[in-house]
Amino acid sequence: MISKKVILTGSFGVGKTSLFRRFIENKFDEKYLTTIGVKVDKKVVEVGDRKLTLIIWDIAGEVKQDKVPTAYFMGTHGLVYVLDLTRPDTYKNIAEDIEYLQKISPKSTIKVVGNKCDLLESEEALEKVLAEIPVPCNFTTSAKTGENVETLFAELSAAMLA
Amino acid sequence: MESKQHNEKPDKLDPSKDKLLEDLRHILLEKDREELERLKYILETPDELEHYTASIIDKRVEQRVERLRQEFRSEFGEPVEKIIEQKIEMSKNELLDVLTPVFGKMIRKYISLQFKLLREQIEKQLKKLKNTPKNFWYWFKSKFTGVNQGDLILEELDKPKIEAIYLIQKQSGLLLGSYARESVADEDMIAGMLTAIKAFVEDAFQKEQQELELIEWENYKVLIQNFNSYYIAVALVGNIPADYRIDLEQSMGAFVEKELQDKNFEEVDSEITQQVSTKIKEHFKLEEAND
Repeated sequence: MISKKVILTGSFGVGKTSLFRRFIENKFDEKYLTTIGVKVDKKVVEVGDRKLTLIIWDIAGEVKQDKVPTAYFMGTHGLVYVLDLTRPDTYKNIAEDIEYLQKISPKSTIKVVGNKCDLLESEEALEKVLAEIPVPCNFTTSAKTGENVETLFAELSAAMLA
Repeated sequence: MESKQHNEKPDKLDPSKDKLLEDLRHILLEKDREELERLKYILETPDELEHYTASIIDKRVEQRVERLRQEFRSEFGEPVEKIIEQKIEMSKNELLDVLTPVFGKMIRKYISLQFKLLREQIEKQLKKLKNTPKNFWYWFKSKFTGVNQGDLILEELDKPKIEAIYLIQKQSGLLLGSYARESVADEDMIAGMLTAIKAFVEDAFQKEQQELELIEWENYKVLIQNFNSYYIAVALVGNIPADYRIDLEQSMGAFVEKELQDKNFEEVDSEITQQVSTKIKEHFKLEEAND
């Protein structure tokens, strides 16, 4: 069984910890508790006939990625950049953030995730928001309903093993 | 017609009849008048009034007090609590002044109890050692070094003990192998969190060539020995003398040289982790036995 390090990053309040908790424990809490520093947890996933241990680092949100200690990103295999689909300020810097992450962690598989899709009233509203995001959004998720959370980590795991 | 009747003047009464009526009223109401006089006297004389009303007032007051006692919390509890809270907040320092001597006494009591327990533990240890070669060894060492036997036993009790050893990939924080006396938490998570703490400290103080080497809390210490692509974290309990630490660091170096030279940790899988864990267990147990 291979182990891989995955980091959840993005601006504060985008729902990184909620996604983390939904994936690890299949739970959701309406209360917002800001993450202090970093929290590490793990989950074993199956990719085809192979088992993979994901060591997931949920790091405290910062407005810009260069504010996060660089050392956290070292040796990372997968990066999940989370944004809030209802708050444009959480994807305002996304292009330069992604460029920065590719530079400091060139071997990582990066997935851009638009979270809180349950708060958008219609498919049209979602399409409108996605068109405004400067980089392609790989997944739209809802930590609250669990929508696409398993798929996100399953596809990330497969990409890391490829 | 009716109003006219009302306006008519009444017949004038005979004066003799008036006198008769007055006498009759006097005779008939005499008792009432006497009673009225008596009541007037009671009302106007405080002592008399108190005598007659005391029992009634006492009973009513008792009832009110009882009601107040039963309903005080629901009726006045909240405002009174608020007033007390405000008072406490306002006089925090005064409160501390009052409580400090109490705390001091409690702490003194706790410390003397701990000393008593420690003395008992030493006495127990000495009893256990009576007529054993170890006792002779303590006696001999005490004579030779000049340190009394109790202190030697104390030293023995506070001797460092390895609780767990982790070999961790430096950048990723992935666990490469581990050995723990007791399973306390998930080793993968410990490895990740230790790496995060290490990364945070090194980043926060921006000392590029310096790395975190020790984490300490109460009687526990985590000694960290950094190598090129991985580090070894040893969790210990007890006091760590300098010579013990040097020996341990040498032992870690020897382990890396002997067991990890040919290892490639590009990909971390459970097979590698298992192999390394076995080697850690063998190597460091041997080191412990040599102590």
